[in-house]
Amino acid sequence: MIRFLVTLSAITSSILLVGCGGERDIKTYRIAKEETGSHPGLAGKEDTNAGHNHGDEMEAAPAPQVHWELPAGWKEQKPDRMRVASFQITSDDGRMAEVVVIPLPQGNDIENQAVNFWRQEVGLEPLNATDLEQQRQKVEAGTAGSGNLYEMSGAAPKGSDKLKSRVIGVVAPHDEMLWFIKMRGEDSLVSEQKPNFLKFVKSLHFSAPAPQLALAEKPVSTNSKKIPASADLPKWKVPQNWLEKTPGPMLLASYHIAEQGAEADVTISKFPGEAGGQAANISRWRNQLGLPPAGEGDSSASSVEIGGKTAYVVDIKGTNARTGKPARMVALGVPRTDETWFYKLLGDEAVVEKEKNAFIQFVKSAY
Amino acid sequence: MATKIVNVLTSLRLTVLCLALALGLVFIGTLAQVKWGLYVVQHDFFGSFLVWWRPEGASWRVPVYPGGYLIGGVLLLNLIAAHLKRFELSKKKLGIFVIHAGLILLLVGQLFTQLFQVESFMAIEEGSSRNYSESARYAELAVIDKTDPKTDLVVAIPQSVLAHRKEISDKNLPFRLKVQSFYENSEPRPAKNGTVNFIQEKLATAMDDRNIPATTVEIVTDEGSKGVFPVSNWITEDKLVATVMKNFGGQLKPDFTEPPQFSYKGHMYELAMRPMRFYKDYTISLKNFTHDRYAGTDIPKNFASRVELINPEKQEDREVKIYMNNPLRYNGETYYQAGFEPGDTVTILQVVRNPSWLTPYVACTMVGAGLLIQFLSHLVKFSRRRPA
Repeated sequence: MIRFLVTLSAITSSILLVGCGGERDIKTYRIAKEETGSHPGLAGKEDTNAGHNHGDEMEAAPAPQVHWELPAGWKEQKPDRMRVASFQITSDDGRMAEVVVIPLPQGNDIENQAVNFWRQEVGLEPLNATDLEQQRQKVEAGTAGSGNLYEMSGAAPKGSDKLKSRVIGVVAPHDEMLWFIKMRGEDSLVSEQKPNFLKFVKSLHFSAPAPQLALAEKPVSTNSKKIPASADLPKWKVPQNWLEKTPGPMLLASYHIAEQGAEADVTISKFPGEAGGQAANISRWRNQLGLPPAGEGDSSASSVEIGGKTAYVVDIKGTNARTGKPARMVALGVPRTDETWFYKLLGDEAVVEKEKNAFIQFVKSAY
Repeated sequence: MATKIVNVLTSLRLTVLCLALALGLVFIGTLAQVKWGLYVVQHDFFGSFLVWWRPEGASWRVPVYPGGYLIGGVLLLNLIAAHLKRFELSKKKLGIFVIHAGLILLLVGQLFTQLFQVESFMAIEEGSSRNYSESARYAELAVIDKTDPKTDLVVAIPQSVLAHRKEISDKNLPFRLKVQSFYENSEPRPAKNGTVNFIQEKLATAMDDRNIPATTVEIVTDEGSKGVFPVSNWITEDKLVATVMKNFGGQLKPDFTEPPQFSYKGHMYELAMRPMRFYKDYTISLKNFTHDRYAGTDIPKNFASRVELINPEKQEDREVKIYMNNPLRYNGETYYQAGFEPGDTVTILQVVRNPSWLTPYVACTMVGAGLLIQFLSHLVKFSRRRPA
């Protein structure tokens, strides 16, 4: 009997012992240099007709958006996420600097903001627009014509013992983009490399539109029976300050807007046919704000032309039946061929007032 | 006493009890998936010894049901014990012996699958190559020594280590990492200095949702701190970067995705939080991806990836077509056609490494053979007994 128990425990413990070795541990490996975390599908395909002057580029490299003449001693890195070009400079005595080229859509004050960020990187205080204007110099920037040059140095930032203490940057507008070309690194090395940097900027040839960052579309499983409903949603132009949320039941999309302690939500849904008709829908919205149903000659509704069809709009104030707080709602019923789309902006009055026009433009952008 | 234990361990009642409990576990586990999703239930119900219940907001918990490991373990013990006790090398019992051995193999194989199976994904764009796959659920903090001009030395710290240790050191790192915070799921928020901060978010449970981890680590050297760095997949994965850009683009500095860097003792280091990577000794290139639909509809008819498999060590370079029910099995891994990106130029292959993938086939064959032997031996005996 004892022999039986011993045999049994020996078999089971050996199974368990073998089974307990699979815990994930810290791993160390050496790999050939590559871009970090880059995902296929974002950067676009290689433009085989471009005749670019990259060095030993691999087949998988993304398309060049810009061409250049590579200064001596600069080592090209793989483009990485937002950078369309990246270079490393290492001096014989181990000092390092890096050059990056980043395109961004032109926007309000983006140049001044970027330059102030660069200043912060070298430990300098941000400057106002007038002071920044005094800092800039015009330089030649390839096919963009000219660009604004900024140079700054300061104390080394936290987390670095001797690098990143000087930045030389050029901001050049081309087409509808602003190109940021920046050299950052050890003070003396960046100063030494300045002539090379200016020559590099002068050689830039912006050959194609800048990459548009794709929206975060989810991959589709090959097990799915149908293309997901979200793939059929209109391509709305979503304002930058709207935060996309996971839509709730019956909703197709949902966004949250928060500004200085006040907030509002945008929701989108669609139903077949007229979904009860204009009067019923307006009464439903009014009910959500604790208002009586829409009566004859109700003036809270108006109409607006959207995508060649007449949509109805309401702009009402009341008390949100869910939260019990004062709220304002702007809602639209947009008739399509055999269905009606409903767009609703609901929240604190200050936010709704500020976002109303953007909301209407958002709806129009779909059709 | 020993006899009593053996009797309990080898009893058929214990087998029936285990099977009944297993049925109950599958039932409640299926219902629980509605609230907690597949992965949480898999771990808490089937991959644990006990199923715990914690009242909302309470710090204590109580076990309410035996978990999958306990039921499976006892069942396995029961089977092995019964096998050992009743083992008798005779023709008469050969069928029973083979059936039980098959069942034991099935249970052990399932345990090994649970413990050793690694699932990851490889997304490849047409015309490009990959030599690593990535986990869809787990992340790692890569500490990359970029000093060498040709190669990078990567120390990959899995998120399970970040979640459980306050301080991390490794023989390949000349410094320590103090984990100031770790969030299994997070959301990005723009910081005042134009970078991105991360706030904790509830765990994602839906099948089509995922957790985006974030951590803040301090690099501590003998000479003092090198800085405090918040890192997350939000700023390393292109699709997540696109989402951050879409929502906060105007409030962020142009190079907000730039990975944190620092230098120490003449070496340049970079930190990146990214999906856990599994490197291969070979490369897979996507030649072409096809997604056929039934005419006039969006209903998929067929998905196929034509890939080139290159293994320099084995001097292997061949084309393979991967499509539904026709995976590529190579080097202990199986590549299934699992998905694609909208636009039909990026294929997503599921990569499964399961050292015990053959055990269910062998076990089922053994059980089938055992049943056949048992029935045939009875049939032969019965037919011999019949009067002529």
